Amino acid sequence: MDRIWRGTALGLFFASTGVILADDPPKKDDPPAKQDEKAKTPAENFAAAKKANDEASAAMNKVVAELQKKKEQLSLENKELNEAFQARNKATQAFLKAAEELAKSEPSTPLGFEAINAVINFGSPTPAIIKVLAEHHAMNPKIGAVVSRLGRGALTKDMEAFLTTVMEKNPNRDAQGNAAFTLASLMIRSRQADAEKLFEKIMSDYKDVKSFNGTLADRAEANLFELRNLQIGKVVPEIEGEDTDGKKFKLSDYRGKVVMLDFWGHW
Amino acid sequence: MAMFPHERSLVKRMEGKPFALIGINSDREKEFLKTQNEKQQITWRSFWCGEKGTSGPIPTKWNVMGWPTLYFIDHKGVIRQKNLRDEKKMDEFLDKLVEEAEKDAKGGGS
Repeated sequence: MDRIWRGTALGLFFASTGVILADDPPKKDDPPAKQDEKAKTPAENFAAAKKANDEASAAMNKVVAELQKKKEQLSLENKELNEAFQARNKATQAFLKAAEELAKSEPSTPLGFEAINAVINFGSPTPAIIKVLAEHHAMNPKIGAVVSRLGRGALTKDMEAFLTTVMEKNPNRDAQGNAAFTLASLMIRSRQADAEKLFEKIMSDYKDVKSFNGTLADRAEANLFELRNLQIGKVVPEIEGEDTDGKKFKLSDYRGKVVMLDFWGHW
Repeated sequence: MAMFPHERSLVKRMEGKPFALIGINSDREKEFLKTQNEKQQITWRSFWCGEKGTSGPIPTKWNVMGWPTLYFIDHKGVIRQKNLRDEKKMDEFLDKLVEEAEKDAKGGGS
């Protein structure tokens, strides 16, 4: 039927034969495309739309199936990852247990010392390890690095007694200072006043003991600053510096506004 | 960094309100920092900690041991919260502080 409208001559021909649309003869200037649209009957539109819908549905089903497949693959990979994690955790637990046993059975040999380090570095300081340390290493001049890593432990009576002994009686200043620092750090949560006193002592007594990013005295000073000035309810200390364009500014420039202060980096 | 999208929308949401997101940036290389800022659309202002980065003077003085570390400070300069990480809780808390600031600003000098 489209064809009818393609040319006036043809249209006239059909019109003259009385076929269709004789009362609306095509104009010569009508664009053919528009004529095509006009030509579609509801039945044709239905057929075309049905076809388009079927095709889009099929395309969607294909994507869904592919995603489903990917999802299954991913969950399989997650399962593998989980299993690997669990296996590793189990092995680590067994390793820590073996290390603890070794530390107990030969607390003073080099191998036993390695075992003590393993428990502290790969796990956390257990009561059994603190006992071994207290009984066999309180006077060990090389115990500084070990006591510096006891901060993840709990402030038990045994822990406090051991660290106090090292702090007061160990002949090595590195050991003394690190014991004091760890003890002060462990006291922050439950005994802030004691923690502050100890940090003060470290600030004056251990300016010579190096620690990461400075000396123990520097770190004690930073801890004291935080305990005294950076607690909820305190007026925030001033910060003066330069922005990333080198322009000077101060934190107090923003007084009157709520400030979210974010220590960050692109890493 | 995981916080950027939330921070970007936070800054946009707070436009015109008494609020500022202030960073304390510990990237060691300034050029890298600048290109990344552009790329990630970091529009808020930051103190730069210098070439010592995380060991620079501000994080050292403030005893910052982990990044990000967050402080929430009200319009009077009082530390009201630290290290709130949950985005929804962060939003709610900041809204509360901003409301206080707006109320005080309207109240006028009391």
